[in-house]
Amino acid sequence: MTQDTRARGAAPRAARWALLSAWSLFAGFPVYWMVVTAFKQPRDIYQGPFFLPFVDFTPTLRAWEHIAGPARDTVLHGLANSLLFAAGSAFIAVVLGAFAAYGLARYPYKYGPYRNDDLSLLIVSQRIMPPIVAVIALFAMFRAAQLLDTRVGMLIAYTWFNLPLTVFLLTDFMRRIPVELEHAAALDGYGKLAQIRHVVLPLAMPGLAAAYLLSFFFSWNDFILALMLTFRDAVTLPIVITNLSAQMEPRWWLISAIGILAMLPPIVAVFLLDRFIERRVLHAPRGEDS
Amino acid sequence: MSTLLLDDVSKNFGDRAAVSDLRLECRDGEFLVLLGRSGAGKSTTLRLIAGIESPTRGEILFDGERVTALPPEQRDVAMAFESYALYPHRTVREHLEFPLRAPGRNLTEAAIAERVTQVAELLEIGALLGRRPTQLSGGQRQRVSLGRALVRRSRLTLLDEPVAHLDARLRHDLRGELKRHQKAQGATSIYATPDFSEAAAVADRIAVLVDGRLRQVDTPARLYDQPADVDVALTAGDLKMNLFEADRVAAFAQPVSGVHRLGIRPSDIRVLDRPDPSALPGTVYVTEPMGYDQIVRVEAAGQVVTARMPLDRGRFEIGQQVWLAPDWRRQHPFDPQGRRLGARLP
Amino acid sequence: MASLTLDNVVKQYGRVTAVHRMSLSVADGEFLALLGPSGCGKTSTMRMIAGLEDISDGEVRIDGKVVNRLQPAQRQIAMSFEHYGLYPHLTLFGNIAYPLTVRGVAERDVQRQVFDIASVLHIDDVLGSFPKEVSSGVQQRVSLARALVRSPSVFLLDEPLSHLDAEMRARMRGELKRLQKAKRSTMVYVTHDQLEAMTMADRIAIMNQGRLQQVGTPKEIYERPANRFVATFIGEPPMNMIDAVVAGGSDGVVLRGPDAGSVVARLDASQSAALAAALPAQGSALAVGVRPTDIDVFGPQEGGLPGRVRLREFRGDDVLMTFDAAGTRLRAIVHRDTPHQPGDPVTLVPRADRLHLFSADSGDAIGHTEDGPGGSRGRSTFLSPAH
Repeated sequence: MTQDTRARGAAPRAARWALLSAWSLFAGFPVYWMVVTAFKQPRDIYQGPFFLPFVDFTPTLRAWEHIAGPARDTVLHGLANSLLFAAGSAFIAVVLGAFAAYGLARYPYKYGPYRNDDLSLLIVSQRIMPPIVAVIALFAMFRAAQLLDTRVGMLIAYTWFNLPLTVFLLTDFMRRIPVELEHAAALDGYGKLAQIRHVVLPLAMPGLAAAYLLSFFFSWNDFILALMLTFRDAVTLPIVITNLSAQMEPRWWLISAIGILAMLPPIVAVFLLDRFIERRVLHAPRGEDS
Repeated sequence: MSTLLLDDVSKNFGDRAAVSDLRLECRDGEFLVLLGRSGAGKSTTLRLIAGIESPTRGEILFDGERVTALPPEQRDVAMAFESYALYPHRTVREHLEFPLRAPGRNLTEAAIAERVTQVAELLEIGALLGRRPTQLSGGQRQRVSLGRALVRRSRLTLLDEPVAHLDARLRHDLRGELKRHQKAQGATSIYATPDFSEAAAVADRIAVLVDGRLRQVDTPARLYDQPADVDVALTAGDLKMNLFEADRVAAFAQPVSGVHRLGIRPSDIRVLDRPDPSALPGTVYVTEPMGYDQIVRVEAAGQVVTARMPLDRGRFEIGQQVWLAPDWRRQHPFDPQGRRLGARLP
Repeated sequence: MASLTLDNVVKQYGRVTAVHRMSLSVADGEFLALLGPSGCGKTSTMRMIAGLEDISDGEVRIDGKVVNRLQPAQRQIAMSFEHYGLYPHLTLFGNIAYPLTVRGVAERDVQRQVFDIASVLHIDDVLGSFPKEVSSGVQQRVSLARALVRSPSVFLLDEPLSHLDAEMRARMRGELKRLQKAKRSTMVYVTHDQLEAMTMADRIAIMNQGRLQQVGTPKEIYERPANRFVATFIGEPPMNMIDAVVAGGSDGVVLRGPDAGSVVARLDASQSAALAAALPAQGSALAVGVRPTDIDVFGPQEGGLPGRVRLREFRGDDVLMTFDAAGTRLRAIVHRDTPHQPGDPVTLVPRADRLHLFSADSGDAIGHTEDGPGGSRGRSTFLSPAH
């Protein structure tokens, strides 16, 4: 039972509200601005800033009409690729990562002088290098393997990108599952695979879901890998957006509209997976008296 | 043919020997207790029997067959872990049903339900069947862990300090009921505890482990009356036995030759408030009244001696001059190596 | 050192009353145990004394001074926590020394006082380690040492031995008691372990469900429990409770058992006379308490309570037997050589001069028969419910 030591009174409350409101405004404004911009005419954008629809400016669906019309194929193409790469690479990275994590958490490996911690470091270190440097090597390798601008290539690239994260997260998660639970299941009569199915997987779910979401986000938001390794067939949404602003001058209204589209899948993903990320499932402290 | 035989079993963790050269036999239907301090090797022994650990040396046999290479799921052994090992995502009912649904076990739904009800009643957890571990108190969790082990009626039931975290009252009641249940089922059980009173209360035989080695396996009464060595003597008794250097008390005790140290149980010492030439003089260190008994600790013969007496025999103050009159006829004689004089080998 | 007084102290959490109107005084230099099962309100009470909880009503006074409004640090109290509260970044030495160093005590004195207390608690050899490097038993003793190293007005100890193994606990009980007597400290010791309270305290205050049940010396509480709760809580194995009915006999009161023809006890003339005023009318029910040490066990015979042996537990010097009798489970401590085995029929005879009688509905004590000086002349004590 912790004491409620918050400062009491009207003045501290007002200060708390003021601080939180200020920060909410600061954090939320870019999103608001983007949404509002997607419904503005170009001249309203250049002559701005206009903040409130119907008050400062007249909203229009022009940007959306363009996306649904002439730009439709391009946008859908980018969207489809982004979805495929994010969802797909996250899935592969989580599955492979889970296997690796279980192994690293449970079995003592020894390859020459290298043991579990060294292997972990080897995997995780892939992400220590800034992607912009690594992508140069990737480019060379992909060109040699004829994987440039291919969907398969991008899936491999994003999986490589996410694996260190999933292994890192999941190893810790697996370690936290007491191995005694698997022993108990064994004594209850279940073999290794059944133990994993009945005990390990359900308890690792929060970790798996979290790792999936993070991998999804990283892939979804990636720019540099897509930029260097795709030109046409495998372009993703960020690249589509960039292309749209490459001519003459940035077409903010289109960028904003596609930006809104780009925000939606990750939000959906979070809603879908949120229920797996329960809190305190593993929290089972030692007993006192009954 | 015995249910369980440990044949010269040893287990090392790195260069630490957890248990060494264990030769232990557990008979069919027996309630055997492993007694020893924490770190003595009780849990390791149970884990070796369960198959969670593999012995570094030696063989484990069930009903005459070698099971050393068998994984736990094939040994038909049930275990209640000291740390409970409850599945956080499962309800109490699911815990009790889980072992009964394992592959290869063909029980009807009705049979499963009946067993679950029976065990739940025994352990008084019937009202908790729908809850998850996080919604249970420590004592309730312990009982669920126990229930999971009992529900299977396996060939061998291993209980690792199964009542350790319950309050004193429940601990007392449950251990007795556990034994009754196992005996009624004809089950063979091995029960680990560091508490001699607990061991003596329920055991058919007690196996005393000291530093990973088996020192004595005997009935509670024989263990209490004739501990085979000093370590066993100190372990087997709810109050620690007092040890005296033989030459220090030679004038009073008249020990036989070869005795290096003498053990006297606290209940065999009377504390007198009047001088007595045949008694050891001393000063009261502290008194602990307990209702009908009291423990009196006295600084005498260069050490703190513990005595237990009925309360109505006298009250003492810290610092008071007293005289200790042990019943020297009930001494436990030990040689310089710590072995009981005239002890038979385990 | 100081005295401590609780004057009609109440603790409420929203609508729930955790502590009902509690009044208690602890004399200067006294060791008082606050005893009760989990949830009885003892921890809330202690936290109010310490200043970690607001006092809903009533006053807490230390040495006569009301401390309700004072912060913990201003109350001159030292507290040892059940869950240690050690500073992880300080060594064990640093932890114990903290209360002294923070008050500017000289280095040399700090060293001496820390080592003194550490050696009493047998932790002087690990003082250079950090909390996470040592066992919970050691951690608990460090928390204890930290509380004891100062000389505050009042010591509050919250289950300080609960995480130690049985052996260490037994040792520490004696050491703690000696320490308290030597320092003449006023100590309030919270525990759920009645053995700890009985062996260490000068007086015990037993609580249940937020109410004080009885305050008295260990002897008073053991020999004259004020109600059923106290009677069965104190003493291990617990006191037996037998449902009986008052009946009249030619020589005195007979307490009949629940089974036909069974007799709990026959009171002799003087016992009957002494209790006459307090006993309920003939034919009414009451509860008879008798300790396991005060029941004799015989083979099947007339009179007494018939039963069957359920369990037999060897205890070294004696045997504890559990019986199914009088519609419940009864326990008796008997001689090692007793022949009865599980399943055997027996007759149990409680000793008439060692009975504790309780009201069947309220549970309050009606009277206690006891052996007076000069033989088996019964003498009873009428006791009003203590509050």
